Amino acid sequence: MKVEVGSTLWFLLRDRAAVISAAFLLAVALAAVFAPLLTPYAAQGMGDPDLGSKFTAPGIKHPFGTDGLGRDQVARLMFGARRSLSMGVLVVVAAMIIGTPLGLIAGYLGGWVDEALMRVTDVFLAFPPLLLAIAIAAALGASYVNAVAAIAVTWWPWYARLARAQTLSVRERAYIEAARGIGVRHRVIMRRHVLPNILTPIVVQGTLDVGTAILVAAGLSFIGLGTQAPYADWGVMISDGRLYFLSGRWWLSTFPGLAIFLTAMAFNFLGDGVRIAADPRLRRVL
Amino acid sequence: MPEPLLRVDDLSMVYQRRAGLLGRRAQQIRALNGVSFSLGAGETLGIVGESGCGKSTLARCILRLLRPSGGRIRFDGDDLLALPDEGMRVMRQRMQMVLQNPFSSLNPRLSGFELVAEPLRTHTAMSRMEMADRVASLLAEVGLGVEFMSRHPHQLSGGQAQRTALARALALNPDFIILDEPTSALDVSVQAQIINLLLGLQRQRGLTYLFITHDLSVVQHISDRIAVMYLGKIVEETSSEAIFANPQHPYTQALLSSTPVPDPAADRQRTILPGAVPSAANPPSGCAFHTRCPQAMDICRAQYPAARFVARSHRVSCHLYDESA
Repeated sequence: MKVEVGSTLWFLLRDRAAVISAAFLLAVALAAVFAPLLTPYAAQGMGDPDLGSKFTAPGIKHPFGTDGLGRDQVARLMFGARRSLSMGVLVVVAAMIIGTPLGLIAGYLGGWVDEALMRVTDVFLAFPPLLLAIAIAAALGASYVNAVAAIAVTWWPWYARLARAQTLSVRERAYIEAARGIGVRHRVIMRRHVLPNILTPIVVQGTLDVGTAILVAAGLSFIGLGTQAPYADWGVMISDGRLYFLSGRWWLSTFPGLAIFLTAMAFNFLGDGVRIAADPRLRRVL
Repeated sequence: MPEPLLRVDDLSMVYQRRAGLLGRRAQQIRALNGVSFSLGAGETLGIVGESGCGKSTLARCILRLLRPSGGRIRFDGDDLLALPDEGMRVMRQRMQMVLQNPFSSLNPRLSGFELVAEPLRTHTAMSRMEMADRVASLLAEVGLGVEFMSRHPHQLSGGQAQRTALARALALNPDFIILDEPTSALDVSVQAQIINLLLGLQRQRGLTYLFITHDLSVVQHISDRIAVMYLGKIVEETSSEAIFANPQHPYTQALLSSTPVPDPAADRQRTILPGAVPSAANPPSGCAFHTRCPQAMDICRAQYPAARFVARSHRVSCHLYDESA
């Protein structure tokens, strides 16, 4: 499978769902990065209360309303995006960085190394992922960094498996044998010849996974094991608002819920688009 | 007689394959069965045989990309099978390989420069500038301009890609190159160009070639000697002229008669072999060729014929040439 970054991009731009998703994600990311400049309530976004205006319903001044401490929900969402988005991306990147080399080594070397590494991944895969993440996050102590670490630990085996499967097929290509014939060291073969040729499906899987990782991270925050007050992420906001949902203050959980839903969906569309655009055999569907 | 550059003695390669439920039945595939030959410096030996006869396995065993099950390989006095891994890795500077399909033997992600510079990067401490100079002169030597340094394999024609692969093989000034069907994936017009290029390079650099092919007409122009393989054994080996003028083994005769001759008036008797090559997992008894041989005798089914010389340096393994016969 020959993949050119240029032509992949070209085909990606013809996928309307992927383009809209990418634009949406870009907007969310920009809102997160430039939050202090975009909202007049930056301090509230960081957690400062404004008790005078608590539980304000959505209106002109506060489009998404305010929470129990009077904080503007738009500002909270923008600052929360910093954590929710970064958690999703960091989890996936960490899982890739851990899983890809292990899977590559297992697949390339085979034999007992493969056996040992894959049994270790089986151990991790034997636990329900969310449960394992909760256990690890609880054991490490509740914090943003620990939540990322906990989820990444449950996630890397999938990348190890994917990298191994890809390596098994790339390993048999003639150019690997040709490199060995030249006397290239195994280490260099793995880095120069195998890694670039297994990366495409891994990156595609990564794009698809960011949305799911944001959901799981929000889940940990929801039960209090992620981001800690006074900061917020979308999971924390849903959690804080859920008590008031049925008593008429519907806006508290609804907007962060929508943010998670739309972001996760956008990552899925984008990942799907990348997958199709990167594979010449699938491009015909477009 | 001087020591030959490459000497292969009684080389065997048995693949073990697990078969059946839970892999309890072990299947043995004899890809090479007592192969011996020697190759002097500056010579070209053609290895000819149908697919599945073990010729590619032979190439991989000589380069130790596969571990042979038995036998000896001496290269310029060194026992290759006894070398430690690092010693073998260093030895690979002197022996290179060019494979059949350049589009699968060149990593699609690397540029022409990176591909040709890879051997230099692996075995020398050249700077990038030195490598660029060297790569440019190597490309020129195989008839490619400097613009090919930045081309990726998918931007090349078959001939250009195979030239790139050849430049890569020449990078370290090897003594010996194994050419495993280097022209089979190419158009006929390009085949001739590559063969001529190989001949020119051999003259200038004094290269030694092991040229593996299924196509006798290709190997004729380039080989000094030709060895014909059938199911893991060399059945006949002699000079390039003798094999065309005076083929002895019935298999060689059949191979020759299947090679097209560009002369419609040529009076030829064609020998068409019945059936297909038997499986190496379950080779016939005695002479493996007896199932398809038009002149098979009883003894052929029972006993493998030892190699004997029918003329000076013309070796044949066939009961037709037994002393008693």
